[in-house]
Amino acid sequence: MSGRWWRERKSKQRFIMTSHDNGSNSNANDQPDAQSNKMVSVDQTYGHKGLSEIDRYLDHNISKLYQLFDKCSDVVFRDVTILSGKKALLIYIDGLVNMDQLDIHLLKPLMMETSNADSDMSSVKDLIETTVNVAQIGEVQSLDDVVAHVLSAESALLVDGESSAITISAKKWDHRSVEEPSTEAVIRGPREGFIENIRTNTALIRRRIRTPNLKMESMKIGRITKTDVVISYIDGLVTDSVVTEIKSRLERIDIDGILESGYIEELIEDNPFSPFPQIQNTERPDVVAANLLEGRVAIFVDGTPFVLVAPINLLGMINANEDYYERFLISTAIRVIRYIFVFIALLLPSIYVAITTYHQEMLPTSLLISVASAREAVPFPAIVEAFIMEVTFEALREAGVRLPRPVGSAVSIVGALVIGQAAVEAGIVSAPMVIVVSITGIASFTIPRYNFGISIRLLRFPIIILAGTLGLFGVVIGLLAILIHVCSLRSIGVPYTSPIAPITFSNLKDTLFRAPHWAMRLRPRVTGYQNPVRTGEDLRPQPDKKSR
Amino acid sequence: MENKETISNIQYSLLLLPLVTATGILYVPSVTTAVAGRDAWLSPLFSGLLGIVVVWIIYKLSTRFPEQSIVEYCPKIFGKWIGNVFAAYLVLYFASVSATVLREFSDFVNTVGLRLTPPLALIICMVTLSVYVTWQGIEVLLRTTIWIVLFTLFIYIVIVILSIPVIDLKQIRPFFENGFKPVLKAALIPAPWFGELMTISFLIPRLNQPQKTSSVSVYMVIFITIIMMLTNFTTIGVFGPLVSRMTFPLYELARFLSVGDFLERLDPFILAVWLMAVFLKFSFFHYITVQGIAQLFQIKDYHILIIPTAIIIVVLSFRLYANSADLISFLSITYPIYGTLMQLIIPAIMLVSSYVLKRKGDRNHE
Repeated sequence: MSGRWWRERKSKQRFIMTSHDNGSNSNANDQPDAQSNKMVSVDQTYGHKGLSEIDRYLDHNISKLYQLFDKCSDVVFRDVTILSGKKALLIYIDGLVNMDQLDIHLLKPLMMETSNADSDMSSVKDLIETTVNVAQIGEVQSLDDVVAHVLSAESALLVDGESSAITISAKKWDHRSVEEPSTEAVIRGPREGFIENIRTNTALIRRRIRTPNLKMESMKIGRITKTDVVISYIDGLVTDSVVTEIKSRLERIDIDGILESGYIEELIEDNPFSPFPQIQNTERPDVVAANLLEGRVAIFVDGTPFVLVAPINLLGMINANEDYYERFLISTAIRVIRYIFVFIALLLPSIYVAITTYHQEMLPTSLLISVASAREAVPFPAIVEAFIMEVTFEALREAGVRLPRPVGSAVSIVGALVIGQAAVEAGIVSAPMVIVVSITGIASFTIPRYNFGISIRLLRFPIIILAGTLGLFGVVIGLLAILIHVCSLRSIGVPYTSPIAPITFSNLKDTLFRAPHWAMRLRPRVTGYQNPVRTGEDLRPQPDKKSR
Repeated sequence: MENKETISNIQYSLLLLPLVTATGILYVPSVTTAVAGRDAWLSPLFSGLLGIVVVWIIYKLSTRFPEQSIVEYCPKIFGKWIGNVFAAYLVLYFASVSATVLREFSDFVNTVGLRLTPPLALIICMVTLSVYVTWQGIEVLLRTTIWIVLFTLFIYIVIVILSIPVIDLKQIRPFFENGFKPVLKAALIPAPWFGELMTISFLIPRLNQPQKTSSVSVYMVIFITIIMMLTNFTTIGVFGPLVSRMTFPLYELARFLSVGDFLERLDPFILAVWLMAVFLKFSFFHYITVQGIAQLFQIKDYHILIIPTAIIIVVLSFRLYANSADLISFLSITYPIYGTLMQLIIPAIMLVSSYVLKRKGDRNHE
């Protein structure tokens, strides 16, 4: 566990270091006493303007850092004496570092065992490399970097007479353990879910995809929060232009803080005014891994278990990961049901309103009579009735999410009783309407992606209005408008409705049907055309001819 | 940017289907049966041949003037003045076809569905959708086409399958009761629907594999012919010569059918499905008209023309035909001749002139 974690960390460290080496620090070693007015432009700095290079006099550094971390009670300054009386300062944030590790592997060797070290130790760096046995250490030249590292949970050691500081990565803070995600439950499939810690999340992916081609590019977004964001993709599968596009969109984000991946989603999507999600989010590592293998890009954001996946398509929003784990015939059958229920979730209330208002002749006579007798006592027209019920249902659902758990069951009982039975008996709504609304509610829960489900829920209302004013004609007009809109959408430049429109025959195996894995030889063309073949030939299991 | 939109041959061919059949399958059975009686199911075969000729002429013209549409190469053939007059006339023709489609749509919905709704309300709904899709560009229109065509074809096949038990072959026989001549004569009536395929002239320049266009187009015309024949055959097989008295025989057929004993009167669903198809046809003609005007006056960005053109088309749809009967008489008497002139004779003259006058577009146009 820790080994992988370390490698990850190391690569990130290198990324950060090189990014600074390319900057204005390249001549820092030659001119250790660089003028303090030479401002170092680190990343989007907020709160402290570019500090100077590290002074050779430790006291100067200390006073600057004290000033900077004024009133920060969680920042710890620890004076230590190392290397034959040299003064040093260890600075870290309490609660974010592993104290045991620092004590045993840094402070103890530095303070106790320096006596038997060679006295011609040229720099503290050498000393650290020989005596300190913490896995990850780094070297930074400016106070800005020291501050940045300390804020990202590392510890920094400044030594008197040195123009560089040592950063020690001994992080440890409390976070949730890996557990099953509650929003995307499966019957068959891995029970692991992402957590709020970005390293754990990238490790969950790395554990599934063991290739050096799995790239994890790191960047920081947010002026104040400086949130870690990792762009992950499999080199050689992904379309390079997509990665470039996503990176350039991420780079132009200039916002004070990123608290959830939803911020990023909203800032990089193609059509900001669309009700449809153009970037998928998931809590499941297996979903991310599957998408990476199809040539898509994942965006991890620190502090949230929701990982973004792009580019996506419309049909992908209706497919669940479990479809690929169950037997393909069953998956296909379930998918057909799901597709039907997507339409029911979108259209059933409006079709009911249209038929009862304008096209009564479509109903068989017996059904017509029972519907008419049920609606007899209801004082509202069908469209108003539908609106009352649908809005109430949405409110109930929202209340169910928002309410504290112990109250939840009470609300559902009240909701079911009041909305279901009492309202019908009181003659406020008709029984068929209750049936329609409950079927619609069930239907909208069959959509595996929550964010797609809510767009369907939202679009239901304008269609009900159209149905109430123009009948089935209005329903069709609304459907056509949605269809045009969906067809005009793109997700990171990839058509949203692929592989149906533009049509790719080889990819139709994974749309309404889910072909068995041995038959799905090709990756989705729009995302994986660089390396299209994903399986070997003749994978179809069949009895050995010799044994027959 | 807009000029870079490319079209694949599949998308292109799928658009041809609603282009002909959307209004064709509604009106053609009754008007052909009026002329050819029970042999009318054979008539689309010969209209289809005419359609292939039109497609061939347009294709030949497109190979002589690559990357240009009929409005653009018209002045190149006939010279600046006459050519532009011809081109303007063609654009007017496209506008009138759009208006006719719109009128067919509102008449149909007013007759069978929403009797009390003012036609303007229906037309505004349709035109709003068309403005939306035209604004998004031809790529979006073509993507929409795939979804709608797949769906409508599915429903169409369901209707045909459901009507198999009620088809009575006695209605079809005897063949050639009145000889072969009425069949040929009736074939002229659906011909302009096939002739509307001349609008592929606007699509061909954008195809990404132009070398396959001719075969794809011909296959598609054959497929459309089969669908038209099947429609005529099914309606005549169910209703016999009565078809000629009906305005919308396919719609009547859908009313007539029942699934089991509980799903009856499927006609509103047919209306819904047909609306989607006619939306495609109208949007495409709207797009063609806008493109035609833009090319005629060499306007770079066609978007500013979309709404004005839409308004003109709406007004035209009210002014061109006095009432529903006027529309039907136009479709069965005037349109065969007028359409043949615009769709067959003018392009044919253009093709011949381009050979005689040795006018050719340079391949590096733009």
